[in-house]
Amino acid sequence: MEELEQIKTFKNLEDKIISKSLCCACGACVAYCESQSFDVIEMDNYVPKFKNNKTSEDCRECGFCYYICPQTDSLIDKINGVHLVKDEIGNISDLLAAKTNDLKIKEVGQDGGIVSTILTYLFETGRIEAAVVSEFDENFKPVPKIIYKKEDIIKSAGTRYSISPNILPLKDLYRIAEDIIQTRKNVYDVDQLRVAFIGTPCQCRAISKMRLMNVKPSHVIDFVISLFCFENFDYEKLMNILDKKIKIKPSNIKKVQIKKNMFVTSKDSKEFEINIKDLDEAVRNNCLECDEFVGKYSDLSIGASGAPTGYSIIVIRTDKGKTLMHSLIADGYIEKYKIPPNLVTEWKPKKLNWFRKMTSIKIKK
Amino acid sequence: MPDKKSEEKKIGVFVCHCGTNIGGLVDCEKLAEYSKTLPNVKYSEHNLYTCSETGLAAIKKAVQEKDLNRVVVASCTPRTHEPLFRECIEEAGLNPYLFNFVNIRDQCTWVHMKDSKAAFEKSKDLIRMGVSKAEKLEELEKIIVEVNPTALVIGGGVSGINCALSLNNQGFNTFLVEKEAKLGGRLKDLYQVFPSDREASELLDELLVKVKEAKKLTVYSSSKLKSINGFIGNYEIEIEQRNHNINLNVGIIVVAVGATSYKPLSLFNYNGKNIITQLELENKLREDQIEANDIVMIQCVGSRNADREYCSSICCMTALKNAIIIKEREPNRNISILFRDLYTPGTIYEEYYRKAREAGVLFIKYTPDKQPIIDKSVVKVYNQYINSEISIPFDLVVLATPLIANNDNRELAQLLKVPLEENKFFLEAHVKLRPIDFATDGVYICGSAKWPADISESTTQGLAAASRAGTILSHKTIEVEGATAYIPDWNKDLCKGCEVCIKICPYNAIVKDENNEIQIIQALCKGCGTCASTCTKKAIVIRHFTNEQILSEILAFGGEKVA
Amino acid sequence: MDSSRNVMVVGGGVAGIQAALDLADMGFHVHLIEKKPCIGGKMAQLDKTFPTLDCSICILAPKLSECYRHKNITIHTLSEVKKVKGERGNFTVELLKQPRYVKEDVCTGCGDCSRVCPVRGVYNYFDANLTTQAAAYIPFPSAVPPVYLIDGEKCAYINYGICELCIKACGAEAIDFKQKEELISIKNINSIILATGYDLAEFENPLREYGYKKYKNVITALEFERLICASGPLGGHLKRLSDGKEPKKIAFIQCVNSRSDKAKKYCSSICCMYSAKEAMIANEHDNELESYIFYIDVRAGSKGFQKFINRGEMEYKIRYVKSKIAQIEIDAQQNPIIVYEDFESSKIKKLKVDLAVLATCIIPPDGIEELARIFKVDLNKYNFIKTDPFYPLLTSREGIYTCGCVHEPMDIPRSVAEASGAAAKAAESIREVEI
Repeated sequence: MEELEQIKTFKNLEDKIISKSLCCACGACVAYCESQSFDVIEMDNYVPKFKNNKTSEDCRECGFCYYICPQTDSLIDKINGVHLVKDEIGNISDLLAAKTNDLKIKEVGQDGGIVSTILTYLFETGRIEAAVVSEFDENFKPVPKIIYKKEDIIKSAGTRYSISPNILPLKDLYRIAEDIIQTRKNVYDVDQLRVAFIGTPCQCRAISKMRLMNVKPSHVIDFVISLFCFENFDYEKLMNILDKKIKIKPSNIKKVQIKKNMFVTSKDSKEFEINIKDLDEAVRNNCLECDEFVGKYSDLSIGASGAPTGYSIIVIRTDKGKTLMHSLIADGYIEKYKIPPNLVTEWKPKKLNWFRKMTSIKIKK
Repeated sequence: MPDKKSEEKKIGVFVCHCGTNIGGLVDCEKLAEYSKTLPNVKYSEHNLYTCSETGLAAIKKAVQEKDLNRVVVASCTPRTHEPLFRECIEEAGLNPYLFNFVNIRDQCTWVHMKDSKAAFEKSKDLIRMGVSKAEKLEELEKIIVEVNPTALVIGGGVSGINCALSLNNQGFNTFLVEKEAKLGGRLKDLYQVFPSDREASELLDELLVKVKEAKKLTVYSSSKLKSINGFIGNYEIEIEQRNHNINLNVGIIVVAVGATSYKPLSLFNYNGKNIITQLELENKLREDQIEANDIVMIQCVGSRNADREYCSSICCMTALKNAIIIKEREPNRNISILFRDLYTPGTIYEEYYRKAREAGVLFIKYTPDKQPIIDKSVVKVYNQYINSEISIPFDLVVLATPLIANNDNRELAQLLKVPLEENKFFLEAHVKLRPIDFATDGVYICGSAKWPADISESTTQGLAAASRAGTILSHKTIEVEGATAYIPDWNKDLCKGCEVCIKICPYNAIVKDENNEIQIIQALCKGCGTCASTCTKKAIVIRHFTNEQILSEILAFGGEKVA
Repeated sequence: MDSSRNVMVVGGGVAGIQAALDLADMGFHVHLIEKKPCIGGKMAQLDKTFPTLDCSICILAPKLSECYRHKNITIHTLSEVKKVKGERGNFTVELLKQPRYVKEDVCTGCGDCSRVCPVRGVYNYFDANLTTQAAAYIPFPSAVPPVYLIDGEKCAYINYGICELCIKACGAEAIDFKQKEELISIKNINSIILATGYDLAEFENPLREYGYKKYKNVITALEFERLICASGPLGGHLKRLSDGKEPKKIAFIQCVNSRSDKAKKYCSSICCMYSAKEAMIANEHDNELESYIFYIDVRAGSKGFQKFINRGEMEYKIRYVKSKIAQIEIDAQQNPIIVYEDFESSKIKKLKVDLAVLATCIIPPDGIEELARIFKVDLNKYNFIKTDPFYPLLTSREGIYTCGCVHEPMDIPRSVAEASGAAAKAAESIREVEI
């Protein structure tokens, strides 16, 4: 049992993390507290704070918000143990590149369209009842959501380039569960739901801490996919820069991609390039302190960095992830990238070194 | 003694939160305040857990300090907590029957979880009703019955003997009454007993030695029961042994009269010569008189049919045992067993079945719609596996017949006032949880008198009956619930003697005495209310649930005050 | 209380409870030892019981209450016997008691701790592991003792030192994290009754051959019992687990791993009856529902049993098919397909059903070898406690008696009768010393 002089409260979290701009706006603290119906904190413009009429007097002082916060030291040793993390890129069981065979997803997918294809497969085979994803609104603002219909997957395809508190929707788990039980009918008990979680490394870190303690609402998470993440941006600041530099309105943005620089495709099919350094002002403060690039705490880590064009790289970390990838390839959902024969032996080590390099650049920032 | 009826009623009401079970839905403080406004309520409070030590202490304190003489607790369920609260007020100096339980949890907040407003109003209604009844509650005494620590066991078969021995070993004087001249019941007829090759006579001899050594056991053989009077703890028995009457006084009675082997007079050309019963085969085996080479055994003869819709459970094992004996003596004899379902449940019996198969016994399944037919010297049976009729030549056919209820069960049942079921076996209080008791307290049933049983089960049940009897005989007196039925003096004229109450009482607690008056035996009455609600003249009253008390609840609900 | 009139009953199922009540009513003191957090055993998990179709917990609960309130019975839950010394008339028994983290004499069973506990994922054995609960829980609402407990493996306070929400929510101040494993020694025990019941076989094969755990619509009888029970995960509205469809055709497969050369050779004794019962209850819920029972021999010998079976066939749409089935296949809609030999036509046939229920075999309870070692009693070749049919209820050791399924698979009426019988033996033993 870890000895604490006194249990940390939300006030401690505010003092140590939030007020120091270290909060990554993952939504975990609010999701937990709200799923317990404590009615004390909420997310206000990406900042967790006490609700209007609530103060630290109302805080239950259970300490979970502090413990599950990905930015605190708590439990890091334990989740490292569970996820077999020994270095900066985590436990790697296997590594491959692939792209989707699904035409619809290809159209809207970011790179290989892998995440959307995985979700499609998991829904179709009945392996999950719901997934936590991020959709766009009409102003290209990320909206995190729990989806439970296959048709909704397409809406969440593509990468978000500003903050999306993906854990936040889980606060409504029990409300949504009623809907799921009505429509899906094979679930008899909310706690038996199986939900897939897609998120950035910091969010997956929070989920991992929560699952370690089996704490609501993470107990329904059955599969975790971490996305490669170098840095994330504040929405308002990013839109302002885009407006200034390339005169584009948020409602006109179709797709955004970062490959060394930022590439923006507008809805009227124009392409723009912005120097990555021009975006520095919009980078969130907590990203400067982050040491994860590939996301160590997941079943699969997926991203484009280091992948051949049109493909995504998939890092397999667990047996669950491995079985899934094999099924996807065997059943023709995705096409595996064929490594050129002369590069076969060095391909994987090269990618691993690339990840290490990216991670160290990130740490140095 | 002060006239309790006219003394001022001072009721205390305690409303329980039960954690959040009640308190989370309704405002218990307001309920306590409301209670104070009700007639005769002199004190009220609300507690987080009335059943806790602090809650109980609060009740005792209030009773003493506020001089309360009635207590109402509005909380969970009397099923689990009524005895607790009754005991509590008794410790505070009140008669335990001056307590009324109002269930505002199971019957209110739990079932109306989504409507707290309605639950609150209903709680008020229930409390108002409870207070109204409390005002009319009267002191009652538990009934004390003396127990004569002596037992009567009727039937000296393996079940009865084991029961009597156990009772003796527990230190109770026991009378064992057996109608035949010798003890042993059906053990006397059997040869080797399954699932071993022990002989029944050996087992019986062992038992008889123990009977002889049993210092508190008196055996009356060649004796029959003539009359039984009284009730639990105090039975007066008359038995007749070779034409003289003997009077016995006992505390409890055990019925262990066993069953009879059915003789299939009209089935399968039974002739007692070469078409015989398994019991008759036992005799032949004992004398080693089997000459037959081709033996066909037919199971379920006279059972599992419209006449007797039951499986007699011991016949399959009997047939297997006898078949194995024959095969062990002469492996070349042909034995076929025609069966419907083979009853060999459990570990040892299933093993026995395998043993018979390995010994070379042939098993042929037949269905009830296509019974085997005896045709001269051949048994014809249709078998579904090969879809055709088989003709088996025989020298000897052995029919497995069921155990059936004794002819005199009806007579005994009437003497004891206990019921029989449709096959005329004795009917226990509850098939599952009270298999050895009768609904009438103080009488017990074991062995084949209850249902066909093998030696092992008969022995076990005999022991069980001894234990059940022991729970009564161990005490000098027993206490019986005080909320019983009775006919008050002022109602005696109302009774017209129609006897419906006697017939309808599930506990056989009502009798007509020598003066032709209805007597409700307090020691047997459970206060279920069946007699009172059936009595057309409304002569019977149930203590603690009088018409007055119930009516006052109804009127209190309707909003009218009771005079 | 005269200390030499003590009996220990090991096992708090219906047999142990009955033995304890009989002995307590006779005036002896009983120590009732139960490994789980509450008494009631398997019977508490059943929906209805044969042949009366009584609601199981309804007829059991009064006995549970009586046991709990009886002045002569001390219930030790979360306790296991670790050592036995001495002999009949004077045994000394050492118990190991697991910490409940809740004070038994203070907890009122209100459930506030469970409602506020944020930790989930504790598998509920009572629901055949079909549901999960909070770390602060009670196995079922009317459990006796009516006391909650905290799962030490999952509790956040015990493992990480945070939370304490239960402590704050408990109005009775009953939470006590200082509790530890305890060794309790009980002396002066005259005799012991072993009534530790049974487990149900769930081994890999042949259950795996029939698709158990692979196909969602192939379930065991106990799981079916929980699904159809009003207090179970489906609230008594039978639905299949793959897609929530209400089954209209159910196949009950008998002798799955009993009467078998591959698994257990013996007969599990109660399955013919309980499968018919389950089919009847299912038909009660939905009059259109048909059941097929695939059997070898129908065993219905006890009181009222044959009539029950007949009633099932005549009034509850049950059809009996004599066949030990070969295999269960599955189609695209997850419907189980029973592959069997039909004797009328001598052909292999396939029957498509909505749900397949496997009647699993009664096996000796987990840890019986250790139990036999501790109590120094013999086991028979099937690993049940060894008894002699002509001297029933006695074990190989004087002063130690037994009843119920721990020595032979049997139904409730027989277990209850045996329990009283074992109580008689214990009573004789005590009185012998006194007289």
